[in-house]
Amino acid sequence: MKEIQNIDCHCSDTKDLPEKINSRKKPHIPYKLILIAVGVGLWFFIYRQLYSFSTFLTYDVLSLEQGSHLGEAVHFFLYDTPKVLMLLSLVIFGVGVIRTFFTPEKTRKILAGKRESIGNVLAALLGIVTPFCSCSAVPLFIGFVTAGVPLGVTFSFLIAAPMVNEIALILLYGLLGWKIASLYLVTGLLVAIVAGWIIGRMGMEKHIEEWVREIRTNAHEVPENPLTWSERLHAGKAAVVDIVGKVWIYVIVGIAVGAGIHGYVPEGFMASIMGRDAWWSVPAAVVIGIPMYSNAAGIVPIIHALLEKGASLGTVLAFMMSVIALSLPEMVILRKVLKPTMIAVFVAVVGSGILLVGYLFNVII
Amino acid sequence: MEIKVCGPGCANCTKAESIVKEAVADSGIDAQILKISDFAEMAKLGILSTPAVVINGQIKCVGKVPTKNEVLEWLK
Repeated sequence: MKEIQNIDCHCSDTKDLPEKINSRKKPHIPYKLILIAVGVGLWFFIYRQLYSFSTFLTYDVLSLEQGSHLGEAVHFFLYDTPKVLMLLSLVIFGVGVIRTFFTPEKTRKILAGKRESIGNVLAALLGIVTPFCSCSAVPLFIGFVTAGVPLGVTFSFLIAAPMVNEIALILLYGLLGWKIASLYLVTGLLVAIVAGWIIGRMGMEKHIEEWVREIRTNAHEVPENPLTWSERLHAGKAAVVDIVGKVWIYVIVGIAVGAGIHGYVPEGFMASIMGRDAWWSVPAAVVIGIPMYSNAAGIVPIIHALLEKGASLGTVLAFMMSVIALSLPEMVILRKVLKPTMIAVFVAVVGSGILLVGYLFNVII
Repeated sequence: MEIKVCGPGCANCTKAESIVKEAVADSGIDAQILKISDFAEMAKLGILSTPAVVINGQIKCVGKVPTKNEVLEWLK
């Protein structure tokens, strides 16, 4: 037996040089994985203590009166702020790692030459995971359309990418529960798929600026840069620093406004304005949402508080979708490649989709 | 050597440009740095997301701000 073991050992020792270099590199990965596991464990431990800790801080340390306006507002703020920031950090890390597997170039390659209906579905789904920043909307639009991605499919992507993103979903999950988060995910995707499909059916190609149509690009020139796991994990960390570093102020302001509404606005106050019976509240929510520019991080704490005070779910979701998906700054950017008619059609189609979602939820829930 | 930094002018694009400038200054290489903010030009270079760095017509990175070490590596 000993002999055999020795032979095994001997064998693995005499592997050729590249293997050895690999094995020398490898120990970094398990070490990092252990670090991540410990970190996640610690994360869950702290996360579970947040509620009791914020209660202790509000009512014992600050000795605010339980049930008072100020007490309620402060408790809301002290509980939600660390909770949301912790959820964001964890999820952005995960998504940051996942996104290293997707690039706009790969997405374009997948979508180029796809049939419309299946293309719309794929585009909306890829919109969730493909890294995308709104200042890239124009080069991305040109790159997609000129490489043979159908116009409607491109729009499905452009609608889904900002609207159905990890920040929106995790905040909805953290503040309002998984049911509302899934409803948002499914309806957001549906709006993107159907709106893109309709725009595709309308044959709007002539409403793209001429100079764009003259460009021809090739979807198959994908610059390959294979990443190591260590690099992917690093990308996850970089995403946390970058995104949390950017949105934390929105989160805190959003939660502060939410806390104010939570503590001071009387129960049921919103029912008359944003309630189910006010039929005009859904279109009003969509229209008000267009010029408002905020990302999901700032808007979710506010809608959380609005819901509590009797606003209906459909109206609030319509408001959120409108704020995120129909933003004035993005339209100004897209105007560089699209003629005004096309922009108007885009707003009308997406706006109607959001309206429908709003009414649907007000009716069924 | 011709280096093109592409981006419409958002914070990340400006950051990418200054990193490239720093790296070029550090390496002492004689390189011409061009800032491309025209979308048509970007599309012709084959760029889908910004910021992007193109060296001698070859796309080096897209959709992210490179680190200075990465840029120094490309300059070699």
